[in-house]
Amino acid sequence: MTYLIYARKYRPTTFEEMIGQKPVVQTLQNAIKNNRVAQAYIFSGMRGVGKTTAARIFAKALNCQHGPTPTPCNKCEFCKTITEDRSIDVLEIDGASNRGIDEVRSLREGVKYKPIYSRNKIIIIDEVHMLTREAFNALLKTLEEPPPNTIFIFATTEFHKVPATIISRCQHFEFKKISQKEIINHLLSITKKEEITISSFGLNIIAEAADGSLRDAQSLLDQAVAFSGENISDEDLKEILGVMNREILFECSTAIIEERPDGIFPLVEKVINGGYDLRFFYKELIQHFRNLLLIKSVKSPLELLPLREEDMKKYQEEAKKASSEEFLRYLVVLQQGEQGLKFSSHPRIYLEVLLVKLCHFKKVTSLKDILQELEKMKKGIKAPSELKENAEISVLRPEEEKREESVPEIEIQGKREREMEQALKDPTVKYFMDTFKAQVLSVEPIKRVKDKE
Amino acid sequence: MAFKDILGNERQKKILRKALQKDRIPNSMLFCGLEGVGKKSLALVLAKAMNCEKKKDDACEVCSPCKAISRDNFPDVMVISPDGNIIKIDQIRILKQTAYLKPMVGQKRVFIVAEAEKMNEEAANSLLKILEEPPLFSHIILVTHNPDVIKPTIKSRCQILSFQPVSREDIEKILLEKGFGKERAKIIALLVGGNLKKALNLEWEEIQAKRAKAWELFLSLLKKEKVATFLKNYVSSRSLRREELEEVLEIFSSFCRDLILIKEKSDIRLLMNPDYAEVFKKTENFLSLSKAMDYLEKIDYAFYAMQKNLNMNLLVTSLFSNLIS
Ligand SMILES: Nc1ncnc2c1ncn2[C@@H]1O[C@H](COP(=O)(O)OP(=O)(O)O)[C@@H](O)[C@H]1O
Ligand SMILES: [Mg+2]
Ligand SMILES: [Zn+2]
Ligand SMILES: [Zn+2]
Repeated sequence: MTYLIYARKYRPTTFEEMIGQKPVVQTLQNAIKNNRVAQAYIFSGMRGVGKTTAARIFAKALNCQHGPTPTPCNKCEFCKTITEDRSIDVLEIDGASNRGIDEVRSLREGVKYKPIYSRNKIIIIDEVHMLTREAFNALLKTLEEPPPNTIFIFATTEFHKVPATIISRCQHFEFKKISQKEIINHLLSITKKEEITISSFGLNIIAEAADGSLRDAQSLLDQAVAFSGENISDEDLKEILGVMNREILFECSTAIIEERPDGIFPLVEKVINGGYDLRFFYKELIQHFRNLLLIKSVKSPLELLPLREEDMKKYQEEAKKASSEEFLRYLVVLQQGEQGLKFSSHPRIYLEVLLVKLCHFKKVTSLKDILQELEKMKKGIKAPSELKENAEISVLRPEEEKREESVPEIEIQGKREREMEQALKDPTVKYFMDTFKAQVLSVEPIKRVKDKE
Repeated sequence: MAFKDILGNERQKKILRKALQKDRIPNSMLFCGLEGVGKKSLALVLAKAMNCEKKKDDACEVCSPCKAISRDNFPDVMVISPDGNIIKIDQIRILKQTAYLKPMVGQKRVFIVAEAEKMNEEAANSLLKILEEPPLFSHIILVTHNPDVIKPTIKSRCQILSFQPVSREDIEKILLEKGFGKERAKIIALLVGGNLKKALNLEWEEIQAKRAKAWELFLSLLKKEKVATFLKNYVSSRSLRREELEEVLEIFSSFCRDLILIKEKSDIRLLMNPDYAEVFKKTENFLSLSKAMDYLEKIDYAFYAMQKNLNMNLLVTSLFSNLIS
């Protein structure tokens, strides 16, 4: 018995088996029925949605002994040789590996002659976006003087990299993401055939993680079976998919809101020991605070947030602990930190310290106060800061050093501004900034206020 | 090496052994997880077990394929590593040409692509087709510590096995078993942050000396003593090496972080420099919380600038004048 992963085992061999992509499939089938097959096609769309599969089925449909037919038989010699990739007249070329001009030139030589055994010569170039510019030019020449009985099918995940000159000579089909529902149904049919048990929650989170790619969903199912055997447990699945444990997120928001910076260090340790990527955790944390902010400020948050009831209850409890304004401030600072975390040489330390900072946020002045402070500063009045500096620091302060305004300092400034811009792009933040007539300026300069004391 | 010699990562080993028993090893895999937790070693053990004459769920270590693979002298097992800093399309081309040929002496061909994140765009794309439909006698294992930069089109075609960092307790236990002293095992386990390989290869005396020196420096910065001499030494010396600065700054970061931890009265067991706990407590007051955070930000920026290859002398000057101002 040979072992094939599901993605290979369940690759459709007929148009009927294809999931989703109805408009594409219908148009292709009609073209054959009405004998209006184009010279060249280009299939675009994200990974694992059926481009390569459709190209192969189409090739069979054109060359099947009983065809051309919208329903290739898969039994005749012509169909079989295509399935096994040994047909002399149907060439599937990996554009990423044969990307140079020489390869395309020899391809052009090859299509000069009529198909040998079959009705049509069919050239499938997969991952076509990887061809070099010269290769595309050579290909264009072939498309301009189309050899008889030759059909080209190009497939790509990066349509934007294909030159417009090529595209204009092709019939273009855009393959859509596969819907959540279709993915779940497909997974269900596999689990039946393979005698796998999995909960509907499990199917749901796989479909969600697959993000529209059927192949991704199949691969994840494979991994789940490898991980937990034929009985897939929700817990194992969560681990495979790296679904963040909500407990940890709540623990984190509570520490921040209740101003317990000492809780941060064990928390980050826990995240790491749980095997979570810190940047992933951070993304989830931002989402978590966004949820809190939303719950705080809309009347029926359930419509906006697909949460389980018990989770929603927890969120509502948590949301009571701080004001909208505070949640907004947390969110803005978290957003600003995202870029920094990405590039930090020490993500762990960066994260710990950022969260500790957040724990001190309430102590610091409110938005309004900061604005006032800034105002006063402008007028040259010394602003009282609630955060007390340690006494020692003033002792340690150096006697008037002349401070070099070096280039890097300016760059830090620029970096911060970029981060700020980033944060402001977030629609939730934007909305609340507008509502509170707040300015981002007032979030960051806490430190600056002190610096200038 | 056999499965038993790979420390930690029990779950990952179990999955692979189960797959061996059922003869269900996927043809395309991606091993990802922190550096130094045994991903590549495990890939090699798997390659051995697949080719071992005993055909069990482990490498026997005595048959000739097992031995040959250990000596890196087995034609059907190939390790591809970055050439310079990238894996190029030509290297993948060789992989592909070979992968379509039946194994020469063994049962399976195994290709291990180490540091797969270093494949450039061309190399990565040219791997897609074979990853999707490899001949059943060929197995490709991509290994990376940075799955974020692996293209989704590649991930979509692989079975992904994630490795966890080796936990602090496990590292400590392993070091104790290796005959390390109790105190030392504990400190090393904290220093390496889940990187077992680093823990095993750490030069203890050297790292101690480096930390001691860094601490002295750090303290004089805090107290503004000897700053001038220090700056003179660092800035004017032409031989200032980037790695040296990186090392010092890295240790500085851990000091700042630990000081913050102490100031916040958090769990002392989580210090990165547990042997400095007492010293930290004595110096805690030299550095305010906000100042410590400020230091960290500046150090982080220095790392960023180093990556951008800014002028080193300028960098050091501005960094340290920033730190003491
Ligand atoms: N629309 C679809 N219908 C059925 N199976 C699909 C579909 N899209 C993808 N698959 C599954 O995913 C695998 C990869 O599909 P493929 O057509 O190669 O995707 P791509 O769009 O990346 O070329 C197939 O073998 C099949 O199992
Ligand atoms: Mg494809
Ligand atoms: Zn047929
Ligand atoms: Zn053996």
